[in-house]
Amino acid sequence: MGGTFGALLAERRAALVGRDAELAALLGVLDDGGPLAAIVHGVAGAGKSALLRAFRAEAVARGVAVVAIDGRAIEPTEHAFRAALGAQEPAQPGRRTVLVVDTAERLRLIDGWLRRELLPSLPAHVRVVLATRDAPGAAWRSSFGPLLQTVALGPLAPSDATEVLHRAGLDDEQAAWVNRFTRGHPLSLQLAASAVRARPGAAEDAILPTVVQELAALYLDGLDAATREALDATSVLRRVTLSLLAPLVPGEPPQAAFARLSGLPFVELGREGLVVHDTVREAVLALLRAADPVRHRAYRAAAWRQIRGELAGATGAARWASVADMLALVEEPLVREAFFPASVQHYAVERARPQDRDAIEAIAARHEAPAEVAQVRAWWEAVPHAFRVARDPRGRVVAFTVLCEVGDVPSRLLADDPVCEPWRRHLADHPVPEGQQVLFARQALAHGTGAETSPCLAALLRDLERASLESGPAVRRIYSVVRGEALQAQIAPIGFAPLPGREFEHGGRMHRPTLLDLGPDSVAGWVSRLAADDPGADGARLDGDARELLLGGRRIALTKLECDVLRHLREREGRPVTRESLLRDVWGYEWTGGSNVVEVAVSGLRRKLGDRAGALETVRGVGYRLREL
Amino acid sequence: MPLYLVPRTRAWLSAEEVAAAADCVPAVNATLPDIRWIRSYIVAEEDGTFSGYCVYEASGPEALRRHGDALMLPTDAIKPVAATIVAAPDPEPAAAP
Repeated sequence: MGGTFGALLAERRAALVGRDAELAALLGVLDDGGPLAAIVHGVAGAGKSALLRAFRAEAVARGVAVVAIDGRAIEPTEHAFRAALGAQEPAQPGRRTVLVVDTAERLRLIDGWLRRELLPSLPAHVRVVLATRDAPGAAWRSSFGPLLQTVALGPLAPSDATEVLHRAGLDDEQAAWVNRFTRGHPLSLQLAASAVRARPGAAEDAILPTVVQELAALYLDGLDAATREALDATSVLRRVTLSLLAPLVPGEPPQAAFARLSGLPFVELGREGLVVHDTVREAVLALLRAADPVRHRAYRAAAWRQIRGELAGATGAARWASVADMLALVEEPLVREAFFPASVQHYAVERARPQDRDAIEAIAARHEAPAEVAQVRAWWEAVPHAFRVARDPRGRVVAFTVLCEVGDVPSRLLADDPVCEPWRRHLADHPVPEGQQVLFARQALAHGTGAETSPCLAALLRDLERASLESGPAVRRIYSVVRGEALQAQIAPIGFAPLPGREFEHGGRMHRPTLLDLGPDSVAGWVSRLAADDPGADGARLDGDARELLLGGRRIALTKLECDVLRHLREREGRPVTRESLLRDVWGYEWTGGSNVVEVAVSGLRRKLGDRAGALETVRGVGYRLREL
Repeated sequence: MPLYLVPRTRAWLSAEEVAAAADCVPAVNATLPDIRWIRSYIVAEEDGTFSGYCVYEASGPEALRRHGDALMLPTDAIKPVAATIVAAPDPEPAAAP
């Protein structure tokens, strides 16, 4: 029977043990009159992907067209989701089609859009199945009511768990032992079975609170040294590709390490490369960080350099993939949470709808003087698309922000708004090169707590950050304003710096304008800097705020110009950089000074680099090139 | 500041709303200086909603009304606590619903 598609189908269906009821519930969406959508939820390793695989196989067998999307493989934006849909083979018109989205927790950022816009817009013959870690929130339940089938994946029943272990080659005694402490958790069963096969005599004292982590460790102890090294190295990555493996595991051809990793029971081959199961990857990473921090730093540094190189030449989807790779190295919580939310988001953030006007005005009126409420009204009239709102689980607007590209704002509104005045002046004094965008993040206000930090405002801030980055590769600067120290302290780690001397009073409150300059390489450069600023990401560390270079244990003070030149060169490490690009991107268009400014700055830098000065090379007839510091 | 008990019947329609309210406690305590949210006992109602019995220190009933308004919560009554009898300290908080 082997070798045919039918055999594969049978194998996939048979591979699923103990999930008959859940599979039947899912298949209900294929019936006329059945639910229109289903959500499978369960903890990591509960077997959601396996259930979806079986469901897809059964759907295909019934003649249903399947469109499958893996949340890990796409950018969490509306555009990318639509692109992924469009990339699939179109089904015949009217044919029953099911859209299957695995790892949907990675798409939390577009949860509201999926629920409110995409799903209702799908043709009537399409059904939807999502797999995610968290149970669907009230918003999903109220939107779909009985038309949403919710399938909770709990632990396997003891008899089913035993069946899984028998299939994995364990005898009754071994299966009973493993069953005692895995308690039916499918990934734990899988790992335990592998561990027992690899080390039949392992001690039975593995009954520990974090069963999966302990199992991962137990399993890892049984791996050969080369596989273990490859797994350690790649635990710093969100996906494993040949190009990323090469610098991380230099001792062997990347193809060999790739093949070894792909044979592990908790590693899957995805569209973007190998994906180590999150639970195991996090356990491996935690072990590595605790047991061998030097090696952990070295892996991060090697990954950072490789990803930065890939970012430089990437466009389109490949660019997003590399940005996401770099984001995965960033440990700054505000950034991590914006892109990889760790928990259920209580507040749905989305563009404001016309009917939100009154709620937005009411929030402004609770906290602001009448003049400022009038400004909010004027912005709503002129640029309603700039408003984004946070909704509580009941759907009520509890906070709003205003963010837009400066070119979208009528000049009269800008001229009349005192909040924008310092931004306009700064921009006039320091224009950005043509083609680069400037965003104004004018306001963030919550119903209960005003402009102070709060969970719903934090959700909006993460959304602002994300929306800014999604605006495209040309975003250069984001201007904002803060009123309190707490908010400034919150956004400072991602690069927002106060505009000195431009504080002003408005509506009886002091306002402090602040600026995030992403640099000439926009989002890619900014993310690279954030990842490099994390301890251990790079051997040499440039602290832009303190204007210091940390090199070989020394703190080297730099002028602002030297700092900017060095940053520009480091972002292009290993590549020649022309004098013209340095003049344009570091000095800016407004620079009209003499012709030797670049040479003077480079010469100053070399002096300060001391015995590492040779890393800053002159490329005759071109400009300069920075080697690894 | 005096202690108050504030019953809030069917204040939350879902467990998510309870969790969101719990997340807000530090921010609310930080921004409303004349009130300190001490604890809330949440009970599940038969219709799937949740009610709360909330204990606060507050400068007075007006501050508590502002607090309820800020969190969009119903305020059934504001009862000053006349005396507290502590037979044993509170156990570990019960798991969220």
